[in-house]
Amino acid sequence: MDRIDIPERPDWREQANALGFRFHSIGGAPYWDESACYRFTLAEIENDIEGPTAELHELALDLVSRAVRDESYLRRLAIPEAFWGYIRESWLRGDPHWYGRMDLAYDGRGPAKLYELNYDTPTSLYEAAVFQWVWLEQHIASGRFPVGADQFNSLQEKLLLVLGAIAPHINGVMHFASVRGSEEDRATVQYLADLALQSGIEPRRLAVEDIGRTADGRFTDCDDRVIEVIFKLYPWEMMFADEFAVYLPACRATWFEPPWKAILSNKGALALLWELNPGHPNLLPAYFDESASAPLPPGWVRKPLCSREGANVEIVTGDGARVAEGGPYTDYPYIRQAFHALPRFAGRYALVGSWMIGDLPAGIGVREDDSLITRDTARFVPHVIV
Amino acid sequence: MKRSRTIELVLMGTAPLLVAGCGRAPPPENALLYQSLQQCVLEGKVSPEVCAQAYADAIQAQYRNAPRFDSLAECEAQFGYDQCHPVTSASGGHWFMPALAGFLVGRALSPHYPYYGWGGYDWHAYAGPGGYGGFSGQPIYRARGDRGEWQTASGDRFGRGLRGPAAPSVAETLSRGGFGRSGAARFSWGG
Repeated sequence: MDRIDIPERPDWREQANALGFRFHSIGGAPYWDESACYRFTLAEIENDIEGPTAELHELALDLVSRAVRDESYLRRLAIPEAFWGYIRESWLRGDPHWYGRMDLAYDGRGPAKLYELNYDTPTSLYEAAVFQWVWLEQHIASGRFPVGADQFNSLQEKLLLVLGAIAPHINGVMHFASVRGSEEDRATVQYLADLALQSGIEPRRLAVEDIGRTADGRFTDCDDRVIEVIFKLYPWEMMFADEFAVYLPACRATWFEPPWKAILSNKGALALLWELNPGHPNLLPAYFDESASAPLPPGWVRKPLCSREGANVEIVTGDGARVAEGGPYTDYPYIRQAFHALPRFAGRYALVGSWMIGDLPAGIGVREDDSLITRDTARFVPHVIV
Repeated sequence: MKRSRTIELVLMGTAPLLVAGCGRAPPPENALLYQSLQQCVLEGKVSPEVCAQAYADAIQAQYRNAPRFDSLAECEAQFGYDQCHPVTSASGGHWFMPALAGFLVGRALSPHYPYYGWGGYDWHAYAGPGGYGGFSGQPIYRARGDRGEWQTASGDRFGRGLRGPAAPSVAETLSRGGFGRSGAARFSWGG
């Protein structure tokens, strides 16, 4: 694994706009950065990323299977008791999942370490699945990369496989909901709706804020159509805190991601994974933080159970340097995770986002930040296997 | 090969990303979705050759994927009056299948963005194209012994089962706005 500088395609911004990837720059700063790329060997991808991703996924689903049977897990994850039964039913009924992403610290040598699971509302999907793919195809076509160059990225094929599997068993209609205000969220949801359309499913877009409810506790869209199958890019822990949460257990809707993902989008899952699999080479030591107000000792990271985009994360490195991000996620308990620095390439810290579609590892996207904490402003840098 | 062999898009980059609020006009439907070859040609967004290719692809997909019935009555019972037609195959087989409801024209992204058509669709009746080859030999989901069969709200079982009603039901909405408040200050969830 290394980082190599390569020329940008001169028209990549126009291409991005034409393909609906309009958040390629955020606040004037580049989000998509193709002035460089990460180069992997096939062995690195298959042995160090793809294999461990599949294994970590199995550990994660094993954790869900245990947690739905043991209330002490759900209590420690600070999941409201009112939804324990709903989550349990969702798992036992076999509610299918679509996709998730795990963030790995990997430098091309040692075992990849699991930083976090983003199993409920992951974004950066479209740029990983499509724009990164187009980038490679065009560099192969222009001769910059050899014809045999490849990319760990079968995201679109596998996203379609899941839709192909579920399409015959749903009603021909699927709702796709995102919150108002985020271009990135809208594009992610629009992309998934696009794939649904290609799979013979009629996608109906709506805002999370516009979901309605009926007298008998079903959810409806703007045209009063009852929602039966819905993808939502809105976290379960927030749904559980919203006014309509009371209708969830009896709403009879099938959700993507399913309610049992609430267990895995919670950073407490990292502590539970370590507890169940101590010493696993791809896990970092992690514990529930019983003294969250105490100063963090060197070599530890403190994270709220529910936070996104690096918010409210605090690091004290091995030599005592403190790095912290503010944010709105102050009303949750915390975990402590052993500090394991992200690898640095050309002065940037790189994080490998490794995707699971269904139960299959499906590809990666590398994001890099100037900070040890990967934030929502981290740049997406494409990768190639040669 | 570790990457997707082809990538096609229908909505991305064509449809507006706005989500209309309830009570406001929905955004125009910009996906290239046509009921007939003539409609595609007349609209002129893509060349007649692209229309013809997409239509031919759709006919083929329809032939491969559409459910087959022994009698017209059985087919019409599921798809409605005048929605079915007889088919006789080259090998002499004879059956009834639902008519092509329309077809999509999408874009294949590699390497020069030609338009590309595929798939008969009938959203309310059966899944469209499918058969994505390549990775399709792998099971998408592993069997987990402790879990039951997924069942949709309308009673469909995941795995094999009856199809639900042809159109989703409509019910009076008493209130809206009960989701989203917790996220009001937090704009993106991706991490």
